[in-house]
Amino acid sequence: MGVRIINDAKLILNLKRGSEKEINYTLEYLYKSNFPVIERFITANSGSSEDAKDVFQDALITFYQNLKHKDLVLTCSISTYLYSVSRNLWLKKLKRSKNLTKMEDFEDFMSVDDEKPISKEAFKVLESVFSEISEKCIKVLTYFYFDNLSMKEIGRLTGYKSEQAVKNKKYKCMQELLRIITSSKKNELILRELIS
Amino acid sequence: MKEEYKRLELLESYISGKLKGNKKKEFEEQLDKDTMLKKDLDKMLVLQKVIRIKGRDELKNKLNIIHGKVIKDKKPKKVSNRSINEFINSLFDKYFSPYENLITVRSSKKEELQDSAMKAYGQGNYSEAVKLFKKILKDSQKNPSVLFYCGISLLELGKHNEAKNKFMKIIKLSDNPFTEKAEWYLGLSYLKGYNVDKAIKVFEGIDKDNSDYRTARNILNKLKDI
Repeated sequence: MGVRIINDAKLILNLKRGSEKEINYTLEYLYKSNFPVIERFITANSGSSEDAKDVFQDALITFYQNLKHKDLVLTCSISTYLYSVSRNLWLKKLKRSKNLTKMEDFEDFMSVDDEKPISKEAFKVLESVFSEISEKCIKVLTYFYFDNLSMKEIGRLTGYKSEQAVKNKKYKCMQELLRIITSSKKNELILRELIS
Repeated sequence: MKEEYKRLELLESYISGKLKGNKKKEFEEQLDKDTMLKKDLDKMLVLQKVIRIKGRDELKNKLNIIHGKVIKDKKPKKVSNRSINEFINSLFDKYFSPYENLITVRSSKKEELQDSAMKAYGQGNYSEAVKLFKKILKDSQKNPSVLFYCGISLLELGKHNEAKNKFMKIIKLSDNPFTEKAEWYLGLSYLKGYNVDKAIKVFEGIDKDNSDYRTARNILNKLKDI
């Protein structure tokens, strides 16, 4: 990887509309340029290197999701954004661990974005459910719902020849996923908790 | 098909907030009256949530690999300049080999399907083997030997997620002759998917009594360099 500096606008463009290669390259670049500073902040504030890794990765993922889904418009630099998000996440975590026994501080259990943290049990169920559908289905579905790509782009990445073919595949995969989830009452209940 | 597609698109546009004004009102009114629609909406919400969590998890795996690269650049280089993925690939290739088929050929009609499957497996015709194994599994989902060879065939084909599923099933079943080997192959499946953290967890969990204990320790030492 070169040492040259890439400007923010280009980085954002890569993430929003780039190829898989460009996205990977950009993530690596952002990681290399921003992780050291954030690691220093966290280790200087009662955190371990492991904490720094978790927090930074959450911040980077949040950045990615906001870009892809909420059409984020930055009024500061990417570095400042990542630093602020990391700092907020870390401070909330610190507060939470200090107040673990106080019920009135329940608010602190909510994470920075509106996402509820998911239980280990739910995650296990999720893993087993996904191990039963094909890799291709996982790709198509996550490209659509997580990466927020257009049908055209998904077609290009997965080798389907038309938008309609992608739509068909997506529909089939959704049905399959639904079938697997509902085939076990227990699993269905556990996963339902995620939307409560 | 068209009807169902339209329904799906309607639900999606409502959830994403694209449905607005009168159309939105109409939909919400219908939602109050139609319990099936409400149920479908809930199902859709669960599906979308679950897919997003999976997507996020895959991104996290990617970042973990990048993390390894970034950390490695700070340490004195123990591993050569090859990329992490190449390293993992070579590690996988070094340690993965299909388990030798020791099941003798049976002659009853019921076992014909299993025989054909094992034959295909023995010949290295893994796609055919998988097809046949899956057929058998439709009726006997918990057959450990079928799960085992199916898993290995899937791993040969690079389908590490599906392979993982088979090995996990074997491990969940009560003690059977394939449990130990299944743990080993589960670790390799994670490795194939570049999921180093999980691979490490699995290899660390391999018991001293397990015949693959030494090799698992070897792999662990190599993985810790990443």
